[in-house]
Amino acid sequence: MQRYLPKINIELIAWTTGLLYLAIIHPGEGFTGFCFFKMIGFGGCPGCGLGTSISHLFHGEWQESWESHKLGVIVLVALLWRIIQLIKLFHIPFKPVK
Amino acid sequence: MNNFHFAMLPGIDHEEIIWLEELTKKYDEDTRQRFLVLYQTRRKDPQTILITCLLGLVAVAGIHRFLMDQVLMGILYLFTGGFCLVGTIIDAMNYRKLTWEYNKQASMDVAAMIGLR
Repeated sequence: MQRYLPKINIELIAWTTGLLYLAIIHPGEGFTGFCFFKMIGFGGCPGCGLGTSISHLFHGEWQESWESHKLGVIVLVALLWRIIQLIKLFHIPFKPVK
Repeated sequence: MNNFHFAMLPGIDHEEIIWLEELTKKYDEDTRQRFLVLYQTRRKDPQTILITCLLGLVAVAGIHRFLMDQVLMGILYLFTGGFCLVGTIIDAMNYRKLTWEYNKQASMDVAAMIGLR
């Protein structure tokens, strides 16, 4: 375990924890989103509402999800696909072609 | 084993040199030269990836994903401002691994191409 820990891709950790967090919380109950543009003081960014949208999807609320952000479904699918890809890379190391 | 040619590649690190040596150890000098030329054209410099990634902080996000042939992720980064900047920051921290993931695949593609000839 100790040997593998530093090798785990930070990208894999980030996407999985992010999605798990969004699945556990309930949107609208104290969730403010994690937009860094908003934190620095800008009004918002094109991605705002994305977290709420994905969280709504996990709870089966399609209508609210669409209203929060149009790209919610595509982002969720793309992130899941990317996670699978990263796990594959992690578990099946490349072998040089003979 | 002469790794001088591989060490010349911009932004190369230890892991990549070892990998390329292992991959090309059965090649003669001529084939290794051909491998290097082809690999050089396919390879992405980690620094390029980092700079295009950091463009996401000030201008357009997701160019680095397009450069690495991840079109879907590139489009999503573009239209969501790099997932509200979160994705951009993660990729900026992770740019070496990200580039190496692409370069490793590229090196194997080139090796397969040379092997077929």
